[in-house]
Amino acid sequence: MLRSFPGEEKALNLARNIIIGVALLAVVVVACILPSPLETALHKAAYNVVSPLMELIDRSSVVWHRFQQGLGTLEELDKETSDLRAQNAALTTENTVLKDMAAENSRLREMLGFKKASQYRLLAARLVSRDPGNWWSNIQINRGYADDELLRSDLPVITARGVVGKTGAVKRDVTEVILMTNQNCKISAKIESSNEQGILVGVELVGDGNLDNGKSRCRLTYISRVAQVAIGERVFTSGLGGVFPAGLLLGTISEVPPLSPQINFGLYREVYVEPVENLSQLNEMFVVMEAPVTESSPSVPASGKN
Amino acid sequence: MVQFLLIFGLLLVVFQMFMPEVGLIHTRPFLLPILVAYSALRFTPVRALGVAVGLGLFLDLFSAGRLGVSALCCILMTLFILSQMGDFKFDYIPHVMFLTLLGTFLYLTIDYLFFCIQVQTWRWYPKIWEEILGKSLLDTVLCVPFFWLFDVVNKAFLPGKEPRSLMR
Repeated sequence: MLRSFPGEEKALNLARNIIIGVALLAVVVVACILPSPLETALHKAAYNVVSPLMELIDRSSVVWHRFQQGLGTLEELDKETSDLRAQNAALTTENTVLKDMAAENSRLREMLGFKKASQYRLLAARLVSRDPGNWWSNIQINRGYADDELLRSDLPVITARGVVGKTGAVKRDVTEVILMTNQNCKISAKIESSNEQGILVGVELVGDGNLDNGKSRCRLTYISRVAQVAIGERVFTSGLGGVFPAGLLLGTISEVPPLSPQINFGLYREVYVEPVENLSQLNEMFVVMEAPVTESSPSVPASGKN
Repeated sequence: MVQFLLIFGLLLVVFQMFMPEVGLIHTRPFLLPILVAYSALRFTPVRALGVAVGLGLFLDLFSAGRLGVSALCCILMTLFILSQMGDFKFDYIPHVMFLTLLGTFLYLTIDYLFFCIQVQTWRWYPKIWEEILGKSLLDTVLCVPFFWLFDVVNKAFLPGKEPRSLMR
């Protein structure tokens, strides 16, 4: 018969606890050193598992929002309707003019022997959720590969005002959008007046946007040291790099730091750019898809390469 | 009870994605540290560490950050609270609130440190401290109803065992 020694049970408990503790730590270490593709696959799987719940919460919030809107007075609704009708008429006229111009542009390009300008299809999307972490400002939109099989990462995401960011990991029902203020989002850009080209990079993120004097902003780097830049000048995508088509508005220059040995040295200098869109107030946006234009979908012309 | 806390934590992470900014603190609430604090204050150290790893991995799975970073933060927060066992009464509500405040503050500070390492930038604005403090204070206040709820569930799950109650 086995005889239990005093303290034997305590020692066994201690050993068991140590083993469990080490196993837990091993799980965390393995998680930290997982290769990137496997990590992305895990993220996708997790989102696919909870997507029904996310959809339920999203739909509930939409219903609640509509209910709140429905509480407005008839007078307010009437005014809003007439405003929207006027806006619709103006946009329809503008659209017709732009279509004529696009057709003319296409003809002229053909006459000059240029390659036909590529067309883009816009996929409308709505913000579903934000990153649950504290410091990352990525967002999720309500479109996934189940909605459009051509949806993939590295596609531009825009609003009516300008660029918002680019698509990240695409899941079944939702897609991650890497905002332009994220350090991982780099956009080839040019300054409107001088055509000076550089790379637009997000400054580090906090909460719903970057914090530098409490404002979201980006850094335009690799512009020539002798470039003439002024506050308020507009910055557009240059079309180089292959992700963003040319001519999309990115923002305006908000700060031009003086040339100093600490930050602006060598051949280049950098300036700060305030995004055109308030990234903490995003709601509706479009993913710019590379596909032939269909009759029903709106399209934006983008300059093709010579 | 551990399973309940993990499922609750998973739901909380999903709801976290939809939470709007709280006007008073000008930031989105971050309630996960309350669950970590509860497990550290109520469970055995091994179980508390298990919950911390589980909750941290849940958060990492839905966040853009590196997998495992939040789990490390949760472990460090749990170890910090456990190390205060002799100095604080774990069933005395002001002490519980104070430990939740310190624990959340520690979690968010370490989390930001890891974030800085990941984006390879080292900038600490006063606004970051404000955000960390705001979230910590919110968790300090909200830990009271959360702990009450978990204690009620704990009693329901383990009728024979009396958990360390806040109401003593």
